[in-house]
Amino acid sequence: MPPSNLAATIAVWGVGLGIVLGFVANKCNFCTMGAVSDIVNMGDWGRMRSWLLAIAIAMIGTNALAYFGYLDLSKTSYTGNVFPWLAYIVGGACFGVGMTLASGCGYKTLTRVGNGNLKSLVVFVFFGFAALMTMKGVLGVFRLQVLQIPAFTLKFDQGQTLPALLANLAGFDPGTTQLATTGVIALALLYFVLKDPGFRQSFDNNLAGLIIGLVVVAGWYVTGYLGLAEDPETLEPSYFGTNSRLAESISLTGPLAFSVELLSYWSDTSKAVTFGIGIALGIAIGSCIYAALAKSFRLEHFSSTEDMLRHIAGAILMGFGGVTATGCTIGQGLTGVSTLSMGSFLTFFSIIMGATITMRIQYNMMMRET
Amino acid sequence: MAESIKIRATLQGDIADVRALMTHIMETGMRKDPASGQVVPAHFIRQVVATLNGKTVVDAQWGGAVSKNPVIGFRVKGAKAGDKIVVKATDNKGETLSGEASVA
Amino acid sequence: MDMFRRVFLNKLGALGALAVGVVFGAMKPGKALAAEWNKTAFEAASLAEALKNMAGVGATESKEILIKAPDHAENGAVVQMEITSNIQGTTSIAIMIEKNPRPLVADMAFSNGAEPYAFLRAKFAETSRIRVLARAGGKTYFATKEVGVTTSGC
Repeated sequence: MPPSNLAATIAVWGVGLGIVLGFVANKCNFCTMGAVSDIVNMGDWGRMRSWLLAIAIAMIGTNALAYFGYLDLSKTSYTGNVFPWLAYIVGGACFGVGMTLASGCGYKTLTRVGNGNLKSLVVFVFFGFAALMTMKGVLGVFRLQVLQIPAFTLKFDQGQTLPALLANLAGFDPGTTQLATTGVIALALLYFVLKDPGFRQSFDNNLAGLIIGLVVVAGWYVTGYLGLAEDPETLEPSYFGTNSRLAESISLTGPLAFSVELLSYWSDTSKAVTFGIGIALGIAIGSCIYAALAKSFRLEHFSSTEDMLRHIAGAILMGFGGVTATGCTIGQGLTGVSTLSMGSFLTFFSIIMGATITMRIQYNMMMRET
Repeated sequence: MAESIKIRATLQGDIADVRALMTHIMETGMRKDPASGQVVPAHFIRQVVATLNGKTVVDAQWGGAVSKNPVIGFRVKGAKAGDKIVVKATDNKGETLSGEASVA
Repeated sequence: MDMFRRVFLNKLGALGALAVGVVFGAMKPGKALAAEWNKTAFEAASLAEALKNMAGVGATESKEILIKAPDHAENGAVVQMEITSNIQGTTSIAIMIEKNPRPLVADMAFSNGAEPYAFLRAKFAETSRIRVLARAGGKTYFATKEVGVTTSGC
């Protein structure tokens, strides 16, 4: 298949998978930020279990694809041998704070945009712009020269996935270690998720976890297998249709930045709609379809100056944090974690820490006002 | 030691578009190894000669600034399907790489 | 007798070696024998020096030389470029990256039907212009294009 066709096909797959994600998120009220705030404010683990279910399914599917040769796990941005731990922690924490202030992460933001929320539209623009600034612009200088310097970076020659590190430490066979590690962690997660009768009875939470987990696996298959072909210009095997030129699956930080970039540089023929941009677009569309069916579409606006400032600050923190940590709640916290990357685990916990602290502070401030 | 060069030659009308991919470190000789602090010695392809049915079509000289795992693309007019393309590369240490393909 | 034979055989051997040398020297595998690597030009450390060594000083600017390269390259180590010379009778193309420590990157000669076209990937030390020299009919022409080198993100 000619390369331009293959890249376009991969992008279309992105839109399709995005539509599924947007529809499911709106219908089931899946929300990573909500998952944390439900625990902090109400002690309810329902939506967190949903997220963990998605992780468990994604973990099993992703490592199965890799084990059977459909995915080269070394060709992703989560599994490299550079481990900038300070960037993961600071980026993750900033993202956690940001998503709390902005009423949701990138996934939720796009879902709300599809439902008519103008506040999230503003968040989208500031998130994308801040992310772009952190990738190649003024915030990027801070990221590279302060957070990601060698002093704060570890190197793992065999890659930073947990199986690779274990296999290297103990001298085990990498393939078996991968299956064993995946099995242990995924089964532990599934046990934790399914042991709660309240969760088992929640159709929405189960559906969301299942579908979203499967979409992550599909994303790896599409970008990592279907999209891998010989580039006719350079004769090198290349990943077509992705911004990173690697296998990507589902992430929102990069895609939001690249969407803003594409809209700005549309006439530059080297820029095109990619899988990631397709996912972002698809989520908004899928959410809108559900909104139309459920008649939930509503234009929402900021209720006050404080509301607007909070959302803008949150959006900027998410853009900065997401790029610095190489991913957000979905990019690192779901897709990255599915590869068993240590950096992803670290970012996941940092995001949750950042969000939890922010929520506690907000709760205390609210309590003091009453 | 002659490693092989991957070559694709496709016919577009009467012009053969040829791409050749070589595996080579292309070390400029000006880079410092971050681990040892020493300058890494130059090791790069200096010469690439391409022939079509035995006649030289491209004679290229390269410096170290050509990217690692270099690709060269060139076009030959008046080619026919089945014509034989041979590409030979020589580096500054005298090591050679070569490959051949037929125009498809 | 022995000594005569030894001397004779020695001289015969030497003559044979000489003959072989002459034959191979004169044989000149013709066009398959490539030109000598232009060390001075490739190791020139400034654009001015490189141009001097490539007879590029005083070249005429030409819009017939097309340089296709990104306006902004994300990875300075691998910048793709496609050069085409539409000038009639172009026999060779030289590519320089002006701000590189050694500006001359490639010098390519075309013959026997090869078009004055090249696809190449090169390393950029920093944002810089690509300068292409095209030689046709004993004259040298040039064109430039700037490529910005940025850092890339996630």
